[in-house]
Amino acid sequence: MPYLGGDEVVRELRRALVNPHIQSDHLRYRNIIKRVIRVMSQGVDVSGLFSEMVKACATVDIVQKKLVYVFLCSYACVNPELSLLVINTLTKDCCDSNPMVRSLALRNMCNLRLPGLCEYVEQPLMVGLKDKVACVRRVAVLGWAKIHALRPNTEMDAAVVNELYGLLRDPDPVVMVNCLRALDEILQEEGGVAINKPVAHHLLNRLKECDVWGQSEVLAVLQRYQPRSEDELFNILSLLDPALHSHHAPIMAATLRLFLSLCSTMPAVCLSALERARASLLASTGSSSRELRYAALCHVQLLLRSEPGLMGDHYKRFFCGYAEPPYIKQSKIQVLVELVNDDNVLIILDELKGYCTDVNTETSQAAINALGFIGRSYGDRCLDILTGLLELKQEHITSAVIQTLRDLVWVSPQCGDAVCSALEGWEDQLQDTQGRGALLWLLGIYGDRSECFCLDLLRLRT
Amino acid sequence: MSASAVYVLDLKGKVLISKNYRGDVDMSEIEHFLSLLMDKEEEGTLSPILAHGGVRFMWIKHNNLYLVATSRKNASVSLVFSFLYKIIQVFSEYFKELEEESIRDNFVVIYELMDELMDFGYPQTTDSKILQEYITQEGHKLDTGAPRPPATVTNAVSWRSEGIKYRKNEVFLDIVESVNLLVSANGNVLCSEIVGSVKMRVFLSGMPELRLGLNDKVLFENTGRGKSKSVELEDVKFNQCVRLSRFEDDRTISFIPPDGEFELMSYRLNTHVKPLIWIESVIEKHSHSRIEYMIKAKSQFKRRSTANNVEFHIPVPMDADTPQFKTTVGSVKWIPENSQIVWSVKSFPGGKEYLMRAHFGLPSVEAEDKEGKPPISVKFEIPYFTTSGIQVRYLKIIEKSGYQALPWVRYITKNGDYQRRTQ
Repeated sequence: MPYLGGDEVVRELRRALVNPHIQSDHLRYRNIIKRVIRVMSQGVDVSGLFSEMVKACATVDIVQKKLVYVFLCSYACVNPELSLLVINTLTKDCCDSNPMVRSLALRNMCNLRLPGLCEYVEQPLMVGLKDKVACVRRVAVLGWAKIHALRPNTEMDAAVVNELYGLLRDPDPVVMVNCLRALDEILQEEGGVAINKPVAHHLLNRLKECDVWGQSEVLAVLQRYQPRSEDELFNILSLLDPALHSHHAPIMAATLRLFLSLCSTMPAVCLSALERARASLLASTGSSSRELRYAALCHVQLLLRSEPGLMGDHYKRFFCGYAEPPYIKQSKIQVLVELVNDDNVLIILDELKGYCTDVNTETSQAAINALGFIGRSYGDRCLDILTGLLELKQEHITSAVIQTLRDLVWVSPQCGDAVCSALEGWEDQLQDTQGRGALLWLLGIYGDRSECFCLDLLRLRT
Repeated sequence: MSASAVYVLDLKGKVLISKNYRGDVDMSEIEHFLSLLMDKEEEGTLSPILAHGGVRFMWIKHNNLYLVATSRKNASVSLVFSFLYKIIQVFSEYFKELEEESIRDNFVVIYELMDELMDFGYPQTTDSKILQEYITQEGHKLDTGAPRPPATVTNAVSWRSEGIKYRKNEVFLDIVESVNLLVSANGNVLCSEIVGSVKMRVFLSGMPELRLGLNDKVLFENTGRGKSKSVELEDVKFNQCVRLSRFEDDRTISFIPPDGEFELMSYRLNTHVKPLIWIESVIEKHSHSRIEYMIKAKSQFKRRSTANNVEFHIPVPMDADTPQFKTTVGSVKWIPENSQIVWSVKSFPGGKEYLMRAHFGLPSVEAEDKEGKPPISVKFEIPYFTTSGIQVRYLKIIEKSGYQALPWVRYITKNGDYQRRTQ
């Protein structure tokens, strides 16, 4: 297709849209609308076609309707007066016998995001809340949240809020969850939806019916509830127990968070919850999705701060694969440092030695720093590895090693002698300021131990 | 959780399709995305979440597309990423291959889907089987008007419609075990685990109830068969259709299956058996002249099984040239674009040992940058074989019309992340 300039295309499309022959042929009309949307997706400004598109809205073809709504929602804010013309069609559609048409009309009425439309939208939305079909109710509930977002400073009618609270008991789980979301937004000033005992118990009982997104929403909202008695608390915990082993990492994480906050006064229960969730957490660290792996690793790091023994013997799960992105490798290295103990120190040090020569400089620096941390408890072995790394004569590695040695000496001065003997002769390698600064510091502390150092100092000055 | 808007971009950062769900983040913010990404990549500090002003970009990459969600609020990040991956899954089931062309060719369906998948930034209907019932690619016939929403959108059994009919009722079970192995350079097995997946293809009429019996160790111990051969499954995860409460009570796996193909359950277990395919490598590098490889591969599983389509991917330096290969079995190919050689053995029976030698020349001038040391990876497939010993003891099918259906079971073991590090 020859490339036409933006204006040309718009003119051609307008001619086609007002052509009565095309308008009477449904298929051709729909194809023109498709072209408008395609052109719009490619970035051409087609806002000039607004009035023609408004007329195209009145059709029985639902695909065409959807396309017109896509157009209108994008450009309604530039043409508020013309948008009012659509209201008639939309209001009529809200009473259509087909529930798909009703839900489509309701949803798009709110998506137009025009404050001037609010008065026209409220009545269909109220009717929608009581609709027989669930998919219309779902849309109506979120519609009220959208209206609230358009007029944040206006109080929402109390009748609407009551109706939404009532709909928490709706048989359809998605409607229930949408109510939670809508109430949370509308009642934001008051701290979101109020979770009292009947509501909390109702939500817990219906947790199983919800899909993944619904469950995470419910679990997040339940954080606000405080059970009154220990019996109630344990009932809740046993109900939530299966979710700790959930298929989906976000559900497992949300349940764990709920457990930990409910049992904050009972450390034994917390610990057993953590242990039950551990398997799931470890599995997520091997997830095929890199982003979820990273999120799981952040969780593990957080948990290890309060429960250092949590991961036990599973340190091997945190060994880095060759092809993993740097941010994951660096997280794993940090976790490995926390997991070192007498039994596994040799194996972990061996692994870290491998990472020190990683292609990515940040990762190799992170590995060298990790060696420094471990060196505070296992000084000799780490020093051997670190001095071995100097032999490689690679600039970024040498610089990182010198800085690590400086930190090591600061914390455990007893390795001072070993560090000294290792240092002689490496000053030529250093070009960057950080490395040189570290070497200078070390010379300052240990300069009196060796004559060569003074000569080195002079060389550095020049 | 709430995302503000979701975009699909091509590799140059141009928006192919977008949907503004909340309207609180300006749609033009996306123009900052790609330059931010490039900058971070240059610095080596790339991360899944990028920030510009008060706007956060959460992104994933799939083939030649970027999927980006923007938000101004404190959205739950793992949920947003789960949702982005779900979008990819739904689109892939519609269009088979999801890449730039598929977006351009099918934008009508994609707009429809994005309307249904999420509303106001909250995920709504994301089950692709349900969506396929009322959003179809063939378009709708103009005379019949709009389709009605299927009852499944409003049902408790949301994953299966009523009234499915097949002439021949059949069920196919595939138990696929992937073996993950990591061996260090000096021959220590660092990690050895099996990730198993039970996939089913169900062609049954009506609303059948299924019950699956495996040789599960906990089940056997509970029912007094502790001595029989059983398998200890860890980390079992079930499809949403399985009744978890019954599994917790007495380890029964009972469910109403979705129609067609789906994954019933997945499990993981650590294994201490000998690695199925053991590799030893001797690499002699003489700088500036040549590099020689000697790879020995040994199959350590029973003789009556055979591994098919075995491939050894061995990394070679980027600047190597003039390859020469010698092997007792199979063929070797040099793939310079990936800096590796691939030794393919079509059929590798159990209890055998094969040898491969390779010789490359190296240029007399060595390259400036240091190369990484990728591991040797292996691909293979062993049919009719499981490392764990898992067995399907029975599959009971109960439907109110009382038809008899045939279950077919197949076992296969293949490679997962199977790697051996080199010196």
